[in-house]
Amino acid sequence: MTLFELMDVEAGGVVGFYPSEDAALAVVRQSLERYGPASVLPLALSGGTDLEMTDLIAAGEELLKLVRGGFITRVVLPSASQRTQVSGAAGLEMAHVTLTGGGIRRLTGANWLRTAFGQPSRAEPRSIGYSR
Amino acid sequence: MTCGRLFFRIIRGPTPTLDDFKSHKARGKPLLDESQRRLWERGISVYDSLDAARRTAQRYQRLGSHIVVLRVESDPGIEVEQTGPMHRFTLYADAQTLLAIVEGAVIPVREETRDDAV
Repeated sequence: MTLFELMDVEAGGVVGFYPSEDAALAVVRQSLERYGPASVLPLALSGGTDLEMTDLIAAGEELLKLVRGGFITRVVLPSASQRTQVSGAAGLEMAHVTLTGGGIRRLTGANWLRTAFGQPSRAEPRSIGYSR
Repeated sequence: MTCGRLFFRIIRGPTPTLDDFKSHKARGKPLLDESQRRLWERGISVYDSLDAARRTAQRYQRLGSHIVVLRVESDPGIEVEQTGPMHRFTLYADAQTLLAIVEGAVIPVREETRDDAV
């Protein structure tokens, strides 16, 4: 993804377009610090290209969790065509994520990342982004 | 002969209201990004294709359920700027001016299918 869009879905308009996810999240984080959680809940973050926004990364509560916990995990893929499948078990739960060349897939199992990557999770992982 | 450029705006419901064309500032939203002050102060997001507007409304379902067509003539009261990727534009004008240039019937975001019509 080469372009990121921050949208206020309540006001019906774009807050801004950003060249990186970090730049967009910095705006969200600043909004949280200045105006509180109510200013973040109407926001949604998408990623895409100069041609079109294609992937909804996080919105509302999910976006709030991302900026509050600072929990963003990136899986770096060497090429867009590479397909990687990772799975992990967390207690009795099993969750799967499939990464393809340009998408973000939701995870379903709590503590999935801790199991899969051995990382402590500060927030329940709900989505995963990656860059090349 | 009718001329002018067509843009598509996602609106909340089946009837366009003044609120649908208010800038973030006019709606009482805080300025989140200083570099986007002009957009916040006076802009509304529009699309130059119905498909692009529809795809956006489908991705962010809270945005609205309908789309209206705006016909922008060479009106000094309305400024058009491409502010994002392809098909993404901002119209700078006051809400009353924008509401006045709504043209034609309101379009549902969700295309009616044969099954829906039953």
